Amino acid sequence: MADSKHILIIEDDDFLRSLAVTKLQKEGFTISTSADGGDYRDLISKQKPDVLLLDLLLPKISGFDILKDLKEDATTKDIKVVIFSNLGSEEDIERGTQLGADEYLVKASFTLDELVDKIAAITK
Amino acid sequence: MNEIEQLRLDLDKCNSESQEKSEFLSMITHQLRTPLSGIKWTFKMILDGDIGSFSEEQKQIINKGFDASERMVELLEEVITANQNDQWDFTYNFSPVDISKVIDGIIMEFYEVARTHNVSIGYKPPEQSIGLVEADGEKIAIVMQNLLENSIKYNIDEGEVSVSLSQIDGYARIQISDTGIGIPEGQISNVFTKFFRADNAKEIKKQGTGLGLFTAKKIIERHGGTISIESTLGKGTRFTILLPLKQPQNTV
Repeated sequence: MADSKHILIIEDDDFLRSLAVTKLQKEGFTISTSADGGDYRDLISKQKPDVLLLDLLLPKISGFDILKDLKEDATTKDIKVVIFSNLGSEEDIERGTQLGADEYLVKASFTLDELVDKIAAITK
Repeated sequence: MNEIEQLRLDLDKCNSESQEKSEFLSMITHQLRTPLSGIKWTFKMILDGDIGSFSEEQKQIINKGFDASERMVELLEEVITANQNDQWDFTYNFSPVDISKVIDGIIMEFYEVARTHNVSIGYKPPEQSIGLVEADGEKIAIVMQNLLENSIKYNIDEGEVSVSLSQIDGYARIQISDTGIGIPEGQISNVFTKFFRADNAKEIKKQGTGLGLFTAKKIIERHGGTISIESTLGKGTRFTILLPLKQPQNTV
């Protein structure tokens, strides 16, 4: 297997985050996590992820703001961003796509094995 | 304060209370998605063997648990959509609309849906262009979507759906006919009632909110139009929508 891809998960729900970590580690990904999104810059400067799995409703900052910030910065705009949220209105999806998200998934409509397939597809 | 002013105030109050309820429902349904995701993912991970092995007997039960969580997600999505439709009640944008363009767009969308259900759609456009309707095109599209979804969902294998648009006595007339299961005679008068679902429909599809036709009628009446139904059990159903055409502007 090639170098393991690094995924940063920003998700404030403890249970969902722990399930995602378990599943993605099992699939061979290297994982780091943030529970509130407030420390995303620190985490990225320590180890730049290949993929950011991003929730939108976070306690300290909006996921949209994180996405916008990363995609406007030349040093981070190549990080693939998968929005994984329970906001799923047309406006939310359009906004996420316009800001440069590589994938937009509504959590309740997906399972983690499907998430793994999506991540594999965009990191190919 | 006279009676009319009082009534108007009462109506405003009702509208704002109804909007608050709708916003509350929206909040709850979105919140529910999170724990529901947790349940669904957990079942799937167990089924995929991510958390260890289990017996065939356990697998059957876990499978049922996963199916139940999926059904719940689908129902929740339907309630979210229905509630969005309710919220749109407060935001109608009327302008002169060419109904044939709205129908063209919707029919295109539904060709593929129909094909996956092994149902064919035929569309008969008006013989000559018909006038404009003062309408909210997006709302009319919702009506068409709801009716087409039903005509496909409750159709037979290799069934047909036909749509036609014509002009009749100052009205744009849209008809949607299907070769589906039809509605039992005693229940036809209830089809536009909120949450109503016909017995034979429930047998075929367990899910369904019973809001599609209710919403359709509400939208059409808001346009000053009418929607009616004819149905024969086991043969099919036809909906007829009449929307008043805009009077041509008379120059004096």
